[in-house]
Amino acid sequence: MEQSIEFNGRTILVDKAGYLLNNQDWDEALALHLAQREGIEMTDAHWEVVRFVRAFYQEFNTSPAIRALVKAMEKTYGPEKGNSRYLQRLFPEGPAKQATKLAGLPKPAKCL
Amino acid sequence: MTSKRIAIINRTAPHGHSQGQEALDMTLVAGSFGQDVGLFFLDDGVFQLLTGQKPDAVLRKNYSKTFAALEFYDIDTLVVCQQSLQARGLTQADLCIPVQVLAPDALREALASFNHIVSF
Amino acid sequence: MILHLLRASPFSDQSLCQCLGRVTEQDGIVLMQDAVYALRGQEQAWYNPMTSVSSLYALKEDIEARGISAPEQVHVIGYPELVTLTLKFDNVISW
Repeated sequence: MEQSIEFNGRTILVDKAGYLLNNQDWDEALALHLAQREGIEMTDAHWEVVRFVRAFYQEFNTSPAIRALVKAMEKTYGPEKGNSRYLQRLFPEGPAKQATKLAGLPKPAKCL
Repeated sequence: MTSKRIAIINRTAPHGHSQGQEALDMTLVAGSFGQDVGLFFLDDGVFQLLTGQKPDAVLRKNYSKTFAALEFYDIDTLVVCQQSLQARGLTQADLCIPVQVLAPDALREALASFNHIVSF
Repeated sequence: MILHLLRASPFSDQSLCQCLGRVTEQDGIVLMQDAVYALRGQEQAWYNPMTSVSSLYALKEDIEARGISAPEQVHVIGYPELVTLTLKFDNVISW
């Protein structure tokens, strides 16, 4: 089922869980709007993760599930940021789910 | 309780069919749940790993880029059949990620160490 | 004058071998979908018989999708040329 968000005079198509259908629709202003809908106030730490999952998607053509997100963050930023507690604090409803949603990417495959 | 080891075998080429994508999805999910997974490429399955694929030309997703992310899913057993490579005029240098290339005997032995074997 | 359309990988399917046993000099062969993997068959018995067919074509989109390259003697064509070919030959056989 297709749904849409009205944003800045544009109609953005999303799936029923709120993930963008076309990641080319994404820009940072839209990310702020999506964050608001999730009740998240974007800090530098949030942006870092959102940009990270976008880069992950561009490189590997897949949205990272939580375990992979933690591991990949650890490889780039070290264990302080590459751990699930840190990410869970930023994205309380599930880091992989929420960060990929704000980044305009598909939901991680078979993410529970 | 120790977890069971799962081997996932690719035997078909990419893009003509969807088995390759399905095998990869299963691998990522099993990896996400901390299962001990080995990924094997035999026969036409070795074409899955070829570099330089541009399946956008036939409106398919380029999931070959995802193989490079397997390390983040703790999947480090990647085995390719040497005979299958050779029959197709390929070497490790034609593949998009580093793998273990095994002769048929060694490959059979490697497979025997898994509890479950799923073939795509 | 028959145009033979091949769609399966010759490493796991017999169509190419069966087709090569039946082509005449006027016939053409088009490699499409997984049949373009035939171009990786240098080690195979069917490779020389295949490349000695003078009207040997391979579909550009399928080659690019799979990361394969075509040797010089193979005519690389797009969909419009494929349509033209099917009109040029008397008959088309899909293997």
